Amino acid sequence: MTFLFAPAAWLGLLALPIVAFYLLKTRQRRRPVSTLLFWEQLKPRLENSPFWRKLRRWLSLAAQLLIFALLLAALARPAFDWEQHPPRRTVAVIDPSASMQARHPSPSRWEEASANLRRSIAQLRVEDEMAIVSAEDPPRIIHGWSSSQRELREAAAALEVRSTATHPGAALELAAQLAALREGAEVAVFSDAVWPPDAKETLPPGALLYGVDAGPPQNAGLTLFAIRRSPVAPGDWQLDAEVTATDRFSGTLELRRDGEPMDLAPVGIEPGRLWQKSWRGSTEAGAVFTAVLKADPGDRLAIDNEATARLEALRPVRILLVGPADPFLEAVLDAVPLVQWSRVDAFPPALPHGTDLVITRGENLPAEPPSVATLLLHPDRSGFWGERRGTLKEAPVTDLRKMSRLLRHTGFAQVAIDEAGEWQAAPGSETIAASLEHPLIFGQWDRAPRWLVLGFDPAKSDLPLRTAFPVFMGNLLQSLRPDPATGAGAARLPGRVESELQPVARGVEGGESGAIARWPVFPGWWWALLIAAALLMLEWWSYHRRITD
Amino acid sequence: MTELFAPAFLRKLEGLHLLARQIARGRMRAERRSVRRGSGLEFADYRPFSPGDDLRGIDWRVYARHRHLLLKLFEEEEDLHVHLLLDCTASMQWGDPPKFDLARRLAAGLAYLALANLDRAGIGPLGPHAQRPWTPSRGRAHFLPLLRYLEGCTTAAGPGELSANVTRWLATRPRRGLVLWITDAWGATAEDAFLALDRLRYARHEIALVQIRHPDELAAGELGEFEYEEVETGATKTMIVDRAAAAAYAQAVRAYEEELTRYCHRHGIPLLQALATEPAEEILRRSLLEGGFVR
Repeated sequence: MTFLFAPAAWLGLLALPIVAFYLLKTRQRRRPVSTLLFWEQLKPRLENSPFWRKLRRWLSLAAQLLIFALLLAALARPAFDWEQHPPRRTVAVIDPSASMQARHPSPSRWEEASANLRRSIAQLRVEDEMAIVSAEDPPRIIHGWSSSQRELREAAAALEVRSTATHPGAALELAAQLAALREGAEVAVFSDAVWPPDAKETLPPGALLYGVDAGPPQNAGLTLFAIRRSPVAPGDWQLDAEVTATDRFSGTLELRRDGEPMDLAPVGIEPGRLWQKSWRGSTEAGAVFTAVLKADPGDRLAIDNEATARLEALRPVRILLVGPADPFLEAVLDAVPLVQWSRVDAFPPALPHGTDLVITRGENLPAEPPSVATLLLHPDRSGFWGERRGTLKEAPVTDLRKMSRLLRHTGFAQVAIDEAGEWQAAPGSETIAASLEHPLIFGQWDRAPRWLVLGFDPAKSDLPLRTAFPVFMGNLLQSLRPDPATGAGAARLPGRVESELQPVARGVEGGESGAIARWPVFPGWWWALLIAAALLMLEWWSYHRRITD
Repeated sequence: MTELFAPAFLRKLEGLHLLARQIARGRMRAERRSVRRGSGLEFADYRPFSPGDDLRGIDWRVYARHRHLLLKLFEEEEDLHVHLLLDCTASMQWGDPPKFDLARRLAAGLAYLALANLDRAGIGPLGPHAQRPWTPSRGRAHFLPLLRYLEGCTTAAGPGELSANVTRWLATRPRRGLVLWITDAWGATAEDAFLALDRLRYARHEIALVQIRHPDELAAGELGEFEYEEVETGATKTMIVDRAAAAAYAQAVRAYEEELTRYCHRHGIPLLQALATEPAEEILRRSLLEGGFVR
């Protein structure tokens, strides 16, 4: 320890007048009384003995001199060794992923990491700074660079743990960018390091990982619980469940449909393997499926033991045909389940309520992109969809965007087209089928307003005679239904990485929770003042309060 | 008159006299019942007739019924000697205002009431130093000289017990009467004041006690370490006084006064306790209303 303001020691000379004044002040005051009759009756007390009176007076003087010395020490600004270190700049990255909810048995890893973060904040000196980043997806800066413990504590208190997996890479990259703003800044990660295998490589050089006392990673949990309808037969559904375990596991999976028991499946998992099972059924109505995994009492993570998936109810697709009757098209629409169609001869000024798709052909064309999805069959002129420049004879299908869901399983390459329009597609539209770079099928189907142009007359091709035609229409209608891969069809689960609780960087690179001191740090002058105040109270209590009992 | 006996105080004494007259209900002269049997009007007792007794005193009705000559005795009425014993020890000079000032005003007031009631009033200064007493005298004409005498009374420090002072006064063989002792009753020991009262009782005086205390005497005062010095003897005692010691002091004072009250009650001694800060006329009015001091 050193003193940063040693000349304050000269103030120690003030002790001399203090002693002098003390001796003068503590001379016994004489007090005349009319009689000693009652004073003599008071029972003698130990403290009233002459020895004690002298002793306590000197003890009091010693205490006051000690208080004075402590005040002098505070003025001299004592500095411990740790106070002489250069300022520390730390970017604290806290991991709010689902695995942080694991308990061992308590508190949770999240609570332990939060406590470590709070302790780190409490140990900030005046000249230190810290920034806090939450490793969410995407990462979030909870608080920028600050040396205010109060602000940082409040920011840390607002942190929340998530129920899903997160990849720390983006957060660590953000932390590195923040650290670059301060000279000598370091990154401290508060996490259980249950990350994807490649995440360890994203740790910045020199980063400190303050791990948690995770204990043995004993856990079994659902990693998948999803339901989806068949794209071909929308009434059919398939429910998939997947369970993983960190060790050999034997249990049961209780399945409920709308609250009613549906299945009780035994689950047995060998180390390193997964347990998977699917259920199938058919219904147009909606349903809620719930799975509860009966885990062992020592199961660390609770949030992956239960999952809920919602099967949305089907509703028919309403189609409006505009133009003359097309027997082939109407037959296809009749064949597709859950389709209701009607036909009008001319494009109506207002579409019927609830229309999902408009199919026009020939000269019945809208001037503006309609508010509902529209399929334009062989338009006879230019419009918002593009410019017609002429006619192509015997146009082979040469270019197909095979990844397009509209062309899935269609086999469009085999279609023979006798005559097609020569089109210049509107800017921003997407061509999914073309003949020698002349668009045949193009449009804007993945964003609103949705429209698609079939740039040739099906009647002047063999398309109606091929299976590609109903499959294409089926794909088109299916694309109007909600995507089974999104929404509540799949339960939000932590995932396999989180459920297996395997850290990729166990206790690494110099950081353990024990490395953070339990108590907040205070400068030396603060301790001197604290001790002086305590001594002052003790001296007042024992002397000036004149305790004799 | 001086500041001690202001004209306003003296005017109020006349009012107190009228109040005393109302209480005493029209006595023309000293109607104090004497312990002697004599020619008064109020029947006192019987005793057997003996030769030489006045035949007018024989109760002939008793003789007619029982054939015994019994002589009727009547209480003789005589003027009363009121002895005002004034404590002149140094402790009476303690406090602000001093207890001694109030004691002298009370002595003046009581003397005035006695003189107005045609009693004889005398002053007996009790202290460690020799002071000429005021011989009991009768008549209002003696009141102003008595006031001058009281103004000249002083206190003095020195060792002295209350009982010793009373003994010295009794040695002057004062005529038996009503002794009004004005004192703070702070004796040299806890029994000193009681011993003094005992001696007055044994001398067959009728006693009334006026105890004057100063409010600052009833509590320990400022807490701390002090060297307490008794003003009478100069004796000292060093004490560390905290709240507990202060409470014990107050308790000791209360206990002493309660013992004094019990003593007076047991022996039929009227006791009037007053504070040095109270007006003398108020204390005198209280003495009249509470009884025992004016007969």
